[in-house]
Amino acid sequence: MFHEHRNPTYCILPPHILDSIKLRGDEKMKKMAERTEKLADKARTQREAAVPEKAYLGVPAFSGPTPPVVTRRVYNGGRKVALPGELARDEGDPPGNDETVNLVYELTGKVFDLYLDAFKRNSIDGQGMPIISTVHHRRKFNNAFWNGSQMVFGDGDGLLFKSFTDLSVIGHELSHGVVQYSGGLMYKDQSGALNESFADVFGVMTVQYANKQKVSEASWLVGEDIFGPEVEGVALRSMKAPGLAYDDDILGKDPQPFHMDLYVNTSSDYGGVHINSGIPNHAFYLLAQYLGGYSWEKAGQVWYQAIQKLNNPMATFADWADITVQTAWDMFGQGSFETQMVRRAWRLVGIHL
Amino acid sequence: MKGKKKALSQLFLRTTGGMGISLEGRVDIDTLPDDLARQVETELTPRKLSRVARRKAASFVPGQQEYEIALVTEDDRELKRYAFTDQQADPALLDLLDEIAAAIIQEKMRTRRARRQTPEPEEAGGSHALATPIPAESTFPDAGTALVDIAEPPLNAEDEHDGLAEALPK
Repeated sequence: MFHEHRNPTYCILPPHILDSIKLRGDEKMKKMAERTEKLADKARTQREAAVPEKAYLGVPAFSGPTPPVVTRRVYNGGRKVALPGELARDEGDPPGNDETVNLVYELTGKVFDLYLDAFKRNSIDGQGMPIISTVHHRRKFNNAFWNGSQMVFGDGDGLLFKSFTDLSVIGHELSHGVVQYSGGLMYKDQSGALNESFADVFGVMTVQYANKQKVSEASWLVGEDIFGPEVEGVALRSMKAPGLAYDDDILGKDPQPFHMDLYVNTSSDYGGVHINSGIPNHAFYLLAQYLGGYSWEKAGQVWYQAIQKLNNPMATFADWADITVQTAWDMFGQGSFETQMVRRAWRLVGIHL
Repeated sequence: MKGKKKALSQLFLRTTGGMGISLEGRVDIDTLPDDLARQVETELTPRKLSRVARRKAASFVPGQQEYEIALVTEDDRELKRYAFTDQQADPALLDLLDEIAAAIIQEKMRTRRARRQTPEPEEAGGSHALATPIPAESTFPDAGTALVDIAEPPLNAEDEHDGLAEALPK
């Protein structure tokens, strides 16, 4: 975790100085140091709650004489909690014996390709950041996540989940990093749901780009290949039909809404970040269908350029919808078909601009 | 101490996070393998769980795993619930929670398989029962409604007023 000291009042004294004062100072000095530490802790907590860590404004497109090259590192977590684990394959290494390591190495390259080829973005941060992944995380761990600096994949329990190294999942997790380095979206309530939605949109787009699928040919499913054989469902989420991806007596029913009328007010899941993301997910799906062709050509460009411009970590769905319309306006013109379709996609999920 | 251990009969676990996968369930301590049951009794005590829940953790980190645990006593009383994230828990506790989650899933799978192998009365009579009925308490749109609205959004007067008709390719 990064704990950057930005508050001049609470953080002017670095921690090692405070430690020294506590050790060597008199009673009055010790109390001052302890009080300062407490205030710094409080300020840090408040800052973490308000602003995503390592937030940057949008990154400029890559332009250089030689194309950037990917740097991938895949670690073996050894079924333990500690990260990143033992380096299993570095960039340029030949394939090893571990199929999961080789698969993640290959698939992270496909995500890098999408961002570079279609959006001129050089890796996660736009500056060639190495793509770090850990596989075999924990024992029977049923999940995958981005922890702020790397991707982490469990093996699944073999019953409900057979694997998490699915291309849409890898594209999803890496795209959380892209959001983080493009201005950031606070991981709570509507801004958190937008963070999740951006990750889903670019997760499925990675699959479409890798397979050169047109929007009409794609499944629009996130995590299509992760469920075990006995699970009643096709994927973890469906952008085409949010709420209908699975209905299983163990996993429950896919809770995603597709329209603001069905918005789920909840305090769990950070305010329903994985639930209400169904609404902007479906708006993107509709836009892509209207514009046709390949999703990364027009609809994806609007979404990508919009996140570079957003500069609002607390954005609501309406804020995001508004900036996508402005972006389409800038790219295609005010009265263009594309701009009108962006407005229409949002209207059909209940967001009127 | 011995009396207190006997009083714990069930454990409720709910976990969510990461890709948005949520799992929850109860497990009878008696049904767990001996080693795991012993670990549950020694590691998941109110005192230890309170300490974990009080630890400081970064707020709102994408992908963070949330845990909620409730200890249930023999007289079916629920002790206080404990909520924490993977940032607050130490590695040994996370390993233990993974084992418990796996035990819950295995038990649910066993129950489901047994249920599927036992014909329902309606099936025995020849009717067409759904394999997985939609829960009655579901608050989400049913399949028919969602498919119609999602797949084919109709053009409407508002769109035409918005200039859509002119904008559509001829």
